[in-house]
Amino acid sequence: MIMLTLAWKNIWRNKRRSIIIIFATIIGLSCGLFSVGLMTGMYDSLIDYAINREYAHIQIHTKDFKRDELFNQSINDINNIIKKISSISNIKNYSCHTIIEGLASSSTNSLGVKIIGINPLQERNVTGISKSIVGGNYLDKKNTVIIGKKLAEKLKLKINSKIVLSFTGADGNIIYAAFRISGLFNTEATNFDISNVFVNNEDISNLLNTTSPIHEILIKINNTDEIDKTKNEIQKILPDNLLVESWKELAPDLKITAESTDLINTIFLGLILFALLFGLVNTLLMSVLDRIKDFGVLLAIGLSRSRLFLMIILESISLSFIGGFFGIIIGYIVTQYFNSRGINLYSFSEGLSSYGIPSVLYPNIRIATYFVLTIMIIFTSIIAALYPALKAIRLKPVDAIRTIA
Amino acid sequence: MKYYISFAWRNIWRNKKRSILATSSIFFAVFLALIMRSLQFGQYDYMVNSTVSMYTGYLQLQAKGFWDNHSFDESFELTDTLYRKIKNHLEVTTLNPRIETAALISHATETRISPVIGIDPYSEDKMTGLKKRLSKGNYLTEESKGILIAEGLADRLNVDVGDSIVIFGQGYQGVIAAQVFQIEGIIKYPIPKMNNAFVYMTIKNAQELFNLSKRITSIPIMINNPSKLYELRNELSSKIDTNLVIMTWEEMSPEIVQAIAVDNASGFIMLLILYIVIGFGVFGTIVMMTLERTREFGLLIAFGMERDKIYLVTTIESIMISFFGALLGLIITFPILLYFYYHPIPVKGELADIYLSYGMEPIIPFSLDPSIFISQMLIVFIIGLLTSIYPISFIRKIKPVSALQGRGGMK
Repeated sequence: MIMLTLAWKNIWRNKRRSIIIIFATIIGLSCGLFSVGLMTGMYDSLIDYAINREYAHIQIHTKDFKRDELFNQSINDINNIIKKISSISNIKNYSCHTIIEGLASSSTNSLGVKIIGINPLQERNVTGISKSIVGGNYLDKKNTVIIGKKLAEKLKLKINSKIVLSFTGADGNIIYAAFRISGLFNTEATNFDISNVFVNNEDISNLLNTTSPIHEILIKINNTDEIDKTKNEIQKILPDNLLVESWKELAPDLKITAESTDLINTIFLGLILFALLFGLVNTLLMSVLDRIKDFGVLLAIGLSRSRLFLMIILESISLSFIGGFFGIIIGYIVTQYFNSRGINLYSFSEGLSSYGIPSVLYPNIRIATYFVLTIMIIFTSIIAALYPALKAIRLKPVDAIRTIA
Repeated sequence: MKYYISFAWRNIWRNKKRSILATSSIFFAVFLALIMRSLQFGQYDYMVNSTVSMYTGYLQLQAKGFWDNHSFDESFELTDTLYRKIKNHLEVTTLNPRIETAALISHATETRISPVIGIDPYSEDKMTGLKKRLSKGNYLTEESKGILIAEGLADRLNVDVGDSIVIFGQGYQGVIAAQVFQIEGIIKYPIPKMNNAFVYMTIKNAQELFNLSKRITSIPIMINNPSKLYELRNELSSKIDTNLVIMTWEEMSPEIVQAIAVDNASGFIMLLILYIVIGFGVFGTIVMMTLERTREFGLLIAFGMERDKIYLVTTIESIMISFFGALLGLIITFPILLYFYYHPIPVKGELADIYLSYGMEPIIPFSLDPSIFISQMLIVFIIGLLTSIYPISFIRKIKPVSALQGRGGMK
């Protein structure tokens, strides 16, 4: 304890020097933390939005459909399968999709799209499409369709316009059907908006004169920590021709993003601390060199070398601790402030939405980051003090006392 | 001047360890910054290059409104005079007339939607290197009656070279277009999204199929020097009819421009934080170097040395300390970057698939853009200048008597 007091007093002997390094620490860490908050917020929302928009937690397809995406490769005996799935406790909601590749045409243009047949009530509980409607209504009447706002712009269509969807049925015949646009959706991912249209499954059944085939089952679960366990449970009770995948397998890029965000952030903070290390070593070295005479006296009157070593380490820790403390506090306050307000990056929205990133960011720092950072700061300060401290304890008292400082 | 430089030089080495630490902190920052920027810029160049050479061209000549609607209503006739007007510009390397549309492709009971592109086999290959992507069969010639089809699409339709497919779509002025074509060759793209789409035929066949007579939809233009993009656009625009328009790749792919801007900004902020931290470290060194020489400065002034000259020496010292690190960083980093510039790092495993799914080949390219090096040098020079302010303001206020008596020089 007395060593700590000594150390504390020592760092204030040369105020200017100490304040410079403390200031560097505060700026480096608060800016660094805020950047980390931005990155975390951005990637977390990227993943949340993607899950909510198109992947849900778990999906089921036939293995054949995964390969060719053909109309005939649908899931057989769907009612029985739904019954089996519903028996698993962790499952919250599910939604069955008919997926048909087709052409969406207006009088001016036609574009290739994925026609997704849904049960509007089921879908509402699984994906966020019903909440992304920016004009008009969710699928409400017979033969209506909702399409992306960006697709509508490309096709020059408005709400209530007629749109022709054409696709091939089971026998290879081409089916043309006119739908009325009941609403436009706008998600954070451009690609999704221009390549998907949603219609009611019953309308497809009417066009095909048979119950529409189900190609895909989307599942939301209650406890997301058990996603892999639940996935395996489902796979076990289903026939072999069906493939159960979690969003991590469906979107490996998101999986890597999720897994690497924390690592990249830690490396970034590590680099800042490494940069601070130089300044810290320099400060401590200078303060040791200034005090050679003092150390000589201390050693001469019987201070043990290990306590001297400890004192210098403690000086380093105190120096970084002050900087680290205020740096973290400021970083926290700034991040929380922007977390409650959001940062609007509207002018970059096109670039961001091509990666599925929403244009308002809410920076967020995980609690673990603060702990990791604190440990890293202490570690850095000990490393920084090693050389100066070694230099101090290697002094011979007699020579040291004679040094002209 | 020579004296001042050697003065400054000797002053720096009065405390070797301190100067080496400060210099190496700058070295570390420059090293990191160069590698990071080279990676980022390499990625940007690569993204731009692949979009430009695969799809849009640096510039693209179209009828007004085609880009928004992509319909045959905005097609135009490519006359010899128009072709020559653009082709004869010295900066233009390739003109690649195309007909771009989408149509249903059927074989037996399977039908797929795919972009159908009418091409001039020679200029398309020159721009996109289509011929070397041929995995089976023959490349198109001027006289070919058949089509090239992407591998993934062929698999899904269950067809091979020699089989026939039906192309079914909408032609000029709403005419229904339908015709049987034989497959002459299969094209393999590394990027799944592209490999699952794309049918190519000659312009002549496409004009017949879609009832376009002599019309085409677009001409991607490749140029020598991408930095003259806008200049060239304006020059060429003045030569063409008013119903035509020349777009730049930046207008056609704004999402790439913005994605680059976002990434560039985040990289810049990261480096800025790093440089601020390093800058403080150097500043601390300079402050110490100044304070411990209070007596000396007092002596010099008492002897009658002009303060301006002392300022000069201390400024040279500050810049030297920063600049050595930068120079060292440059000398050590440049060969590393040079190596990776010619040997881009291949990406393997799961990550490679992600690169492909984003439409990029799985490599990590580096850039040797001179601006990367210049900007680091500039930043370090600014750090040097900023840190030199402290000694100047200190010496300006110094009182020789107080300094010589060891009372800090201020009272």
